[in-house]
Amino acid sequence: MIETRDITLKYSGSKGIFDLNFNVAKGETFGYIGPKNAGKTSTIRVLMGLSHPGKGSATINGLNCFRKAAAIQKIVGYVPEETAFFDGMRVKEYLNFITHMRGAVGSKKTQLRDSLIERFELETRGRIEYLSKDMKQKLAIVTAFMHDPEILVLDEPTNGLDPLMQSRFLDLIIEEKRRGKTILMATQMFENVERTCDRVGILKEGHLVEQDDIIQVKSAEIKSYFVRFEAHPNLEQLKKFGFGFKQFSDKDYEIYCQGDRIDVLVKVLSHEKVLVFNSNTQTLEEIFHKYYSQEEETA
Amino acid sequence: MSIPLLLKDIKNNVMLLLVFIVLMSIYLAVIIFMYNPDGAGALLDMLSLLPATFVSILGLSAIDSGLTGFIAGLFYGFLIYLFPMVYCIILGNRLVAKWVYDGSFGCLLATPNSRIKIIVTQGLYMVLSIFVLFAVLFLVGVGVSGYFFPGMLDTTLFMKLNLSACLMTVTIGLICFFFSCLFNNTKLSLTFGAGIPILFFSLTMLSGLSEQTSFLGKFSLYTVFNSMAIINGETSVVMVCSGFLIISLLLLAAGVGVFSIKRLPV
Repeated sequence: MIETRDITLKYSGSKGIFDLNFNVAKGETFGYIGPKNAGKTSTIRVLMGLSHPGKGSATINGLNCFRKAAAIQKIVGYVPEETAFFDGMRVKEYLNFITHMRGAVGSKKTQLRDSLIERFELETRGRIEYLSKDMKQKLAIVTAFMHDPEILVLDEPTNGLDPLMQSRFLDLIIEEKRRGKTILMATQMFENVERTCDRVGILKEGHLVEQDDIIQVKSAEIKSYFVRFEAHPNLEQLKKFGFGFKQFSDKDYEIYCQGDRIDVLVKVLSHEKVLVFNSNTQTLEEIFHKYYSQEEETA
Repeated sequence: MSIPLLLKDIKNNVMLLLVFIVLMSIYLAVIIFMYNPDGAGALLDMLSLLPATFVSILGLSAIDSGLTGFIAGLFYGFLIYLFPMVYCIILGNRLVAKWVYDGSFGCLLATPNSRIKIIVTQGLYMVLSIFVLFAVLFLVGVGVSGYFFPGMLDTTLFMKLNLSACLMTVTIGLICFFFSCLFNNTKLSLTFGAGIPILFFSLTMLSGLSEQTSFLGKFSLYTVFNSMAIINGETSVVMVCSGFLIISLLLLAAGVGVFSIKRLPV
């Protein structure tokens, strides 16, 4: 449904995006991940027709992203990385304006809109410029979802949201996914894609370095867990099954475990009395590091 | 054209238009009120106190004795360049470059409306608001003249005068609009959008200074509109108007063209 072919857009210096090829099938949720300045937003701006590639082409639903941007916007909901709203507009006024610009005023539409407002506890009184950053992000989300679009293009959608709202947002994504929506989500936060995406593409300095099944990415990733035992644990057992660990005290450990061996770890730990078991959320950089070092090894 | 966007433009910019309508209407009304049917009298006496070159820079050297000519000389000789120019500069920048610069233009493009449709709407607001401004001026002119000096205003001639001045202003407005479409940055949009009309304005003013500088007027769009020549029937209003119309259409097409192919800034 979303397809890019060799899109290249160079900026000054070595920045830009280079020969990107990926496609998102109908009904699929694709996580587009990469650190800051990797080119996620540039790619999305090409998809949304705000910019056009120097080389290659991007299509959504078979329509050229730049030339047919208006037709594409009919079926797309877009959350920009950071939305700049019009000066001096009130929240309701803005939502009405966008609804009118979409050429639709129906009771069904406002129903969906009102439910989204309620869900995200969006403050609808007052002027947009006085809203806090997270309220503005909520407004951007409501704007993107209120016309019940078939395709969702999300650029750092949870940016600035508090954990509760992030979680509500991910719930919404999962619901939309169940309803058969096609979703492209660019993010730096691995947790976002972990819970929602079928497949991920990893972007590094404008190049797509990996496109993989989410399970595969997860199994390749090494997670660490902070564990506190009631008594000194049987370290031999951990060593025997090949788990690395770091000891902080007699009872506190950080244990490393590859994603596809979590069940083994659980079995090993089941012989001990565990008081605390915390997973250390891995930053994307750490996951990247793994991919990058792999690349170097093969090179 | 997008109706909701046009309504938003009206809401955003109606105050600006009102300020200029009120300001220019007051000027026009006062000028008509100052007219003395027994000869230009007091005003000419006052002007004679000023240095001759200054008077000719202002384009006031050839004051006609009829009411229509009097208005043409005083209002459509100098003020008609200045006020609408300021209006065009402010509005031109507001309609496109400001939103592109602060990023809110993205909100418009995230709706199922093509760039061409959006930008034509913005251009149309520029043109329509100028039409409104001159329609009001025409009515004020006819109304105030009819009240103080019934039957003395040559309405047809006054209409021609307004129409040509209106189309001239549309042309200037679309110059500002074109640069607003071209640049992603309000600074550049204003530099060119204001710079070129001000340059035209200065050239026209300087051309009135002396024989030696009169050639400068040839480089100014404003010189095409000469109120006294219209009053005296020296220029063809049809020619002047169609000239402005053609330039306006070209500018609008160019503005829409550059905007529809450009990359918007992040």
